[in-house]
Amino acid sequence: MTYVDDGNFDHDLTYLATIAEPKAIRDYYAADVVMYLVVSGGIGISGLSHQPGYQGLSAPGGSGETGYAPFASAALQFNCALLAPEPGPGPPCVDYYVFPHEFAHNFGANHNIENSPWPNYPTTYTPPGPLESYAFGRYGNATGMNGGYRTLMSYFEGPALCDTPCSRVGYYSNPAVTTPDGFKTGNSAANNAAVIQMYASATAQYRISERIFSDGFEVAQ
Amino acid sequence: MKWRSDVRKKAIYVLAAATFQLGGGVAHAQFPILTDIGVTLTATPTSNLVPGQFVDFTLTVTNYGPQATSLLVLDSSHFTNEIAQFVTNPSECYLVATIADAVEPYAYISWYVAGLPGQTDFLVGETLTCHFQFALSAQAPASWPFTFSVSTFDPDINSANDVGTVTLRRAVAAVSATPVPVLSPATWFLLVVLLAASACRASYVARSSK
Repeated sequence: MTYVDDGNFDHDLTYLATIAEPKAIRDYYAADVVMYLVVSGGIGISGLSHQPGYQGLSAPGGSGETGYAPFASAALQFNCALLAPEPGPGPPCVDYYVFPHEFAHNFGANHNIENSPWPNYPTTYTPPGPLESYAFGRYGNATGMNGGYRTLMSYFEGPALCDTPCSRVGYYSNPAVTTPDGFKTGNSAANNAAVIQMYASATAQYRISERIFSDGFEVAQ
Repeated sequence: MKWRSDVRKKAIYVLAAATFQLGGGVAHAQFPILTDIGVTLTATPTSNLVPGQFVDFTLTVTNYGPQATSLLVLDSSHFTNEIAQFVTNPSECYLVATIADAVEPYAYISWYVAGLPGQTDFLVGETLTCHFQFALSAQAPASWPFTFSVSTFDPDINSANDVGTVTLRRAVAAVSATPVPVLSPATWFLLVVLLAASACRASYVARSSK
């Protein structure tokens, strides 16, 4: 690409949605979701993502350039993408597992409810709110553990609620998944796995694959 | 093993800016637009607001020239938990929410006026209007400015009219005076007796100590 980012994630997302070059690359590879990895997007920030359907804004679904399709993208600091922050030229990572975190925002997954932009939903006000009322992350302690856990979308809410270090585990909130040492990752009010599954099919229609995996697995030449 | 799920077959395109530099001219992270864009934001009501009460916003953008533009994005100011509920009309204006994963996570709203595939150029003299509503949450401060402005990604030639601002003010809770207890005559009599007894005791102790 000929674009040189300036360390501003906001600019990166606008670039991906509006400028001809990245749109052409996206179309060529029929990418449903674009994940843009950079050295830095700013101090004190590790990722930025659009979010479908929030409060009635650009709902998921559609194909080509309708609905949420043109916005299905996120930008993140590359050395914070996976399990442990890797040394890099950018600023310190705010968190880790940022790639699956930003990716899931594009399916309607949210942070733990205390760290969502509309924290009162759904207890105080009626819909529209997040895509689904249960689409939140979860954190907590588990019996017999040394320290609490939090799911991929959850923030650390302090040692009183999640014992230090409150490690981010490689799970989206899901009532059916409990870690081996007893942290139940989800419940009826925290089930990001369900919202991801619910909108996966709609997301898969943002672009129709013709090259990547055209034979079912291999990249077409 | 072949992937059978359509979902799994779908490509997730990862652009790594650190490694993808394919030559050619270098584009910068700003794409200035060579025309004067004016933004206004009005709202009603803006004062004596209570949590959950909807405010009607009118966001207007005008191209004052001299050129049409094929790119224009407006961004709102950042918010964390000040907004309780947001209502838009997607058929009128194309808004999208963005979530920032920062030390203190925040969100903002963008209006893509021009630049998405299928959108037409924003012509000289053209004015577009976007109506939306939101309600303040219980966490909103007493006075909260909310803005929409031309994105710093696509700055125009005249920044003086790029920002529309509305300041929302919450209702101030009425301050009640501290209630004065009403005492019955019997209570007053008892109070006087107790005070007199206390005074006599103090006087006796003083005399005895001489």
